[in-house]
Amino acid sequence: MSEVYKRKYTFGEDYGTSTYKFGPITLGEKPKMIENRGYFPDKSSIMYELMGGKREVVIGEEIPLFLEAREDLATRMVYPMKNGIIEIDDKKAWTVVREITLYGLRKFRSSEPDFEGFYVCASLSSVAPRYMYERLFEIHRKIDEEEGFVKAITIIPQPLAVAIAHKVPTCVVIESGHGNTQVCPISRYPIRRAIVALNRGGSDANAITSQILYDAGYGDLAKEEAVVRHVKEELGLVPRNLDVAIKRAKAEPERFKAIFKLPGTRLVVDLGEESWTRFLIGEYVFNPNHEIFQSYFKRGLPKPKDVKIGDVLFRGMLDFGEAIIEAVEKCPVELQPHLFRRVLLSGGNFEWKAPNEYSDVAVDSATKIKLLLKEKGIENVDVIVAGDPQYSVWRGCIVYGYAVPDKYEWTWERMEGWLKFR
Amino acid sequence: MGKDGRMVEVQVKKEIIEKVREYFLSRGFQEASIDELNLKVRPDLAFTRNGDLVFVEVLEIGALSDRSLFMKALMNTSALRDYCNLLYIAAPKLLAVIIDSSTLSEYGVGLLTVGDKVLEAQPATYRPIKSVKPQQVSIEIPEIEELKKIPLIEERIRELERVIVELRSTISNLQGKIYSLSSRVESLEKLGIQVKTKIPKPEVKPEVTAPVEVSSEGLPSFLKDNPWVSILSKRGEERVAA
Repeated sequence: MSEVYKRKYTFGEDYGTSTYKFGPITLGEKPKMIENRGYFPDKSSIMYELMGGKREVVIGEEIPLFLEAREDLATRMVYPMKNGIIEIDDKKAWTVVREITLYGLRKFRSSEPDFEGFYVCASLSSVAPRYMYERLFEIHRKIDEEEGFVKAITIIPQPLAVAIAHKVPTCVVIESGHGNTQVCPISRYPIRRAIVALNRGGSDANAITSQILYDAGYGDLAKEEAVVRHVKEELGLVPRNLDVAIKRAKAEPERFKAIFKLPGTRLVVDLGEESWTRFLIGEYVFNPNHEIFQSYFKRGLPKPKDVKIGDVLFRGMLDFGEAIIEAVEKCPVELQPHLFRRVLLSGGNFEWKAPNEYSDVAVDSATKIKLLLKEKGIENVDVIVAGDPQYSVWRGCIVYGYAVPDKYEWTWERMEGWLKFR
Repeated sequence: MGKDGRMVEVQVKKEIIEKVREYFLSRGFQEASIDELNLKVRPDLAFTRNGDLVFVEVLEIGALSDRSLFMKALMNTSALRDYCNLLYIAAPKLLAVIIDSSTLSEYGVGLLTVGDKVLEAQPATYRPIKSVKPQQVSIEIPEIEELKKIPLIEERIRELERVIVELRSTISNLQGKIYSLSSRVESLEKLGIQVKTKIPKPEVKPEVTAPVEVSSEGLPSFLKDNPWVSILSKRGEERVAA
């Protein structure tokens, strides 16, 4: 198939934990996005009938029209990719995946005479097991059978897509999302046997922020997830060294005063004498091992545990520096210096502010990673925070789909190539 | 429910009757005297307009805790079907979630939800009044016999729903295939190949047609000068190292 065809009909799909990014190469720099979730309405509800009925799952902008009692949300709203892995028998989650995939492809189906279907490059978590690949292929095969949208499909791991989007062929990618973090060395291929997965992500920073709000007398706000996230983003800081930062913040309370007004409301959060705790929020993401966190665990903050999902062990308490070293040291010795040279940080969990007035004690994500590696004897590392992190994976998919030759067929041994249904 | 609960129910029913009355009167209907209709089963309200007769049966709040109560009310109401042109059930908004409107639709019965306002959630089907005189009305089948039919009716409705779902799926498949075939035929025609059988294009239009023209700028920035393009374009030609 010609390069001209792929310039028109390469299609990227990023099944992220919270959003599904999709669209053809012709969109340019940014994909379309919808929330990666589905709502299973109560079929006995009159709204279900009045809105057309006979729909098992509702996705996208229509969801608010079907929402019922708040207590039903937990069972009726399904986020299929919440930790990157869908259980093989989780029918509801797979139904949502099928529905959003169909939605995405329908949105861009072409009426051009030369259209024979898209070259679809989808992206999954690097720890996704083989059955997830098989299910996703099957979903696309059925959609192609019914509507003729898919000429060929391939699936790549998200960290590889990030490395491609940022034009770096040899590096370590850390993809840190809401629920977990994946550390994946890349050297022209993803080095799958060296992947290290962590059971820690943005939601853990939310958890400690909630506890800090509770301690500061904002017990009511501590339960509101949106408020907690706002406070984390506005007040949370990543310390250069946690002990030094706490000492300085306690000595100069006025300078480090943490006050934040919630936009559009009259609510003001003032951590007051507890303002030094803002440094705990950032530190906890990168390294939860400081002894100060023990008191939080004792008071009910859930300690990140080692969990096994599928065949993958997600580590709870490994700091990001150790995780990078562990991943790289699983690779050939000759390759290790090249991998340590470039570390790419991707995902919303690396977007931390480092205000100039606190430059003596607060740092950005890249500097923190460098410091963690330096503590363990690794220096001169080029750490980059990926720009436009929410679009990186989709962009990588587009490059991959565009560049990989049509004749390169899928093999399970390599987990690469095009799978064709016709 | 105790005495107090019953009193609340009566009060709620009165309020619903008042709101429904207001609703019909504001639409040019005139209230008809139920006594003069001389029916054995009496509706809660009756209205006339231009010779058409409308009956309204009010569903009590007690049906919230017992769905079979609602079905019983429906069966009672069904006895009135032949003696009016339009038949409605009026229910408090709270009850709307438990009402299976497909069953109502099957009977041609309309649904009015009564909250702050009265809303016609489902219109009633217009039927001519049968020639039987109201004086001769009698319920020949005891209520209990009617209730026994409910499971059969529900099963039949479920079966019809299944058939509709299958039909929709088949239609969707066919539309997709026709669309695909039609595109291919058109492209063959453009290549000068004569196709004897013209396949009509389906009327269903795409939700969005993507702007498929490649911009004059060419490729997006993340593709330009990307070393991966060269690496990936050699996939299949090289030995896999990793």
